[in-house]
Amino acid sequence: MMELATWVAVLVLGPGSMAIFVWFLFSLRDALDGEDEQGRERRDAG
Amino acid sequence: MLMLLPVVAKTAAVTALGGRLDRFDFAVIGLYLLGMVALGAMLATRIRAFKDYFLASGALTTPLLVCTLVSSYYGIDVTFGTSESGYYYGVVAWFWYSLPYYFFIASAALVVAPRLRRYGGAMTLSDVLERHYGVRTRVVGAMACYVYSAPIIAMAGLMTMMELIGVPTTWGVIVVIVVCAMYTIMGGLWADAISDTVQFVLMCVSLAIAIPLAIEWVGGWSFVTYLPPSGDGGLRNHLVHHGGLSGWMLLAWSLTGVTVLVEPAFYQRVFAASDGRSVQRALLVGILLWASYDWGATLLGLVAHAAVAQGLLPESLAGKQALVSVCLEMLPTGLRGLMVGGIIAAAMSQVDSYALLASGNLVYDIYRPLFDREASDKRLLRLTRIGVFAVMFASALASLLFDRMRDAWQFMASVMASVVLVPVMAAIFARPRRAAGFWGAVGGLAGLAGFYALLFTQGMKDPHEETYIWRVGGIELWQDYAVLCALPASLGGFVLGHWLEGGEP
Repeated sequence: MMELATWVAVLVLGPGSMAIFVWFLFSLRDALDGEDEQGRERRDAG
Repeated sequence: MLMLLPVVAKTAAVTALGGRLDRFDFAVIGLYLLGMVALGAMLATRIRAFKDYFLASGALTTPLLVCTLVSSYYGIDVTFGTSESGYYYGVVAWFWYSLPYYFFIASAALVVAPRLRRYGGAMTLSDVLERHYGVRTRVVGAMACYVYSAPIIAMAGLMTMMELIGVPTTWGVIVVIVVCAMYTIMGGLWADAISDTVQFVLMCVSLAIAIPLAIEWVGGWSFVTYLPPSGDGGLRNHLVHHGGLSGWMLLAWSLTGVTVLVEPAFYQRVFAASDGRSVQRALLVGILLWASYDWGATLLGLVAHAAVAQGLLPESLAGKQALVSVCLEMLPTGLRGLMVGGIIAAAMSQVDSYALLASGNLVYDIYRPLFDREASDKRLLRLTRIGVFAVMFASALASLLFDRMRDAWQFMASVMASVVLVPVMAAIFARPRRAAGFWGAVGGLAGLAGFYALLFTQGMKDPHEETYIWRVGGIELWQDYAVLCALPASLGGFVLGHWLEGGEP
């Protein structure tokens, strides 16, 4: 049981965290674009 | 989330292990620090208003939230504290300290977060307090948030880390403060969140690499036979879920997770999320990562214990050195630098996130409502940026006041939970009257002050447990029980305030 839990933890921390980082890279452009749009709207409103 | 166990008692002098880091290791760490500064400079152009700076324009997506929440909650205190617990107590730390935290995190994700979305325009937990109870409760709550958020423990951990790797403490901490302050001052929550993703990967991957190598280093899974026998039917306390501890102690451990419900970083991220579902998903994914990280750190504590029994590590090894000692002993050059970089990254992610929060507490939550209601956005932005550096510097100095990280964490978490928990939960789930929140906060603070006053005057410091214990009749009140004793006072003050005010909520 302890071994199984440890290997699951290794998988989550290694490949799992890398997968989340890749997900982050793909979503970063959307986040920054969304933020740019908000900024433009604010400037237009101002 | 801070995971220093309440009864970690044994300490020993920190032994410098820095002789094992070579130039290549230091080059890896240096590159990482330079990268962080470059990131801050790149993101500085995106900051136009206070909301851009403090809430990243409310545009954080799920993966960004996962990375920033996981790495902000987990600082150097967790890395040292959890492995320290594994070293002294075994897996009980995971089952009765970490596991309840995940329950409270899940509650925060599924029950609290959806209700916070109705506070449109709110930026901090104190905004929620003001909405229900007025300015005076906001200010009292913000002061408690400041005490909790100031990155004192991360600074203390950094100092220990510098000692361990043989870097002059003062200069090492100054370099980290300058780097953290530069990218946080320039890029605010954007820089904080994006640097957190790098720090998140670094801390997770370095631990994932270290775990199998450490197990191999102590001779494979048979290392468990080196853990001390309990004399209790052959079961080793290090390997049983209760660790041979009393039910009351296990209850006290598990209740510490309640601070998650008023964690300022959680509220900031909820208000910074691009949508309500993002933060829920992030917290639920985060639980998997937190559970894995805690388990890995606990296991390295067990490995260190077995390594001492095998003569691979010195008998004088202090628990808080367990993880770092194992890694520096068995990792090859380059990977050692990665591991140390990962640990420094864990500290930096906590320092930047909480310095930003604490500065926001001072400027947005206290200065603005009390002294300058009409403060312009530009002024708030400038003051908060100055505050980030001031908070980091003040926290480094304050960390010198506490002999042990545990004492600092206990004090900060007790103030936060005693003052804010009852008013905030009531605001979110009920319809309290305005005076109730203020008197709930004051009652909690008075209860806590009374508890500490009685404990330190009537109690005695236990030399073995290295904590104050007040024995009244047959009952033992430990320093660790502060929040458990202060919460009823907060609840009492809250009910009294609600009842005395009368009228409609």
